[in-house]
Amino acid sequence: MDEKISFIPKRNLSPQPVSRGGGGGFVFLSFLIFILSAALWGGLHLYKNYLSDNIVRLGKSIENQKASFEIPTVNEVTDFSEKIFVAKKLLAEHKAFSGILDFLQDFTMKDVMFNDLNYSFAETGEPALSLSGTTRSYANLTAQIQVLEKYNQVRQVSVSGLSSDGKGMVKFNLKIILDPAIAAYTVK
Amino acid sequence: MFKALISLFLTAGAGVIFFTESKNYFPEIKVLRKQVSSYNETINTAKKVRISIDKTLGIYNSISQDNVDRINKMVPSGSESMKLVVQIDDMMRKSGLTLLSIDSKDTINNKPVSIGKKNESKTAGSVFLSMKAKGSYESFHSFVEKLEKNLRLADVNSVKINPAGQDDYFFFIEAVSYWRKTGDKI
Repeated sequence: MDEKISFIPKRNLSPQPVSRGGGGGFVFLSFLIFILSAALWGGLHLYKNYLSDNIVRLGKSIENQKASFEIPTVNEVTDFSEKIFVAKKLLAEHKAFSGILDFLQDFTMKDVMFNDLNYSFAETGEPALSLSGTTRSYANLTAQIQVLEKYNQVRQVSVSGLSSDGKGMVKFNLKIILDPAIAAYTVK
Repeated sequence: MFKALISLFLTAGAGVIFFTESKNYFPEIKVLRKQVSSYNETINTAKKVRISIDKTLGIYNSISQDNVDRINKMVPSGSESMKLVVQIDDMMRKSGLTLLSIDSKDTINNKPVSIGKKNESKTAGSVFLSMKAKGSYESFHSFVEKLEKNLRLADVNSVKINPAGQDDYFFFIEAVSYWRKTGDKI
């Protein structure tokens, strides 16, 4: 009966059920997924546009670089460079027939006379000389052949058509195969 | 219940966005990235080419015009066979030979001039010359020397010498000269 009257309502101290609104976490997660998906879409769209713009920019840059190449000048230089290369090769393979004439002058004996000369290249690329001539005797001809054979740039000497001209002279044909070096051009 | 519906709606929306829109961008972006990479490579190559061109132009500009003209005379851009005929006639006159006849023929089969290292090959066009002349042996010797020292290169392929009288001979000469066709490269 000591019960006091209080304006504070009495509450039971036992735990009371709290309503938490279940599924809030899922909503948040779904929202996050939705935002991420939308952001990815937007990001990809922007990235694609960026790449497209980049391609246009790079294309222009390539065009500008190509235009700066001065193509006629480049062609002129290329042509000239090729000409130098071709000239070098041609000069390296340049032939000098005067070397053959000098060889004949140096190695023809006094008593031997050549009337006809035929110069060409054998299939092997070696210079070949066919000569028709006269001399006083067979001994002179033998000596001439020996002189020719001793020269290191003579590869082969063959004789044919031996006959007498009725005036005491011996007619003959000579075929000489030479080393290609003899007909190579050298700056003197 | 309402929250579950919202969750479902948002997840479905995210899926729809991804599978109907975003997913299509991937192959496109892949192609574009490849293209960008290819363009960048081209630009890098162009930069290297630019450096090489500048270097080559520097070398070219340092060659005197005299030497450029010499090379162009040595290997002209066309066969210029008539110029060659005039040159040969001039050389024969100066040597004391009489040019009796001359014939020139441009060949279709070009002389290949190969580059050893890269197996590339460049070709030089050929002009074949057949000529007949008359004169002394000394004159012929002098002419041959002039011909082989001439700036316009000519190689003697064959020679026939036959007597034509006292100290005079007929000379049949076959020679070949070269030229290099030029044109637009790029």
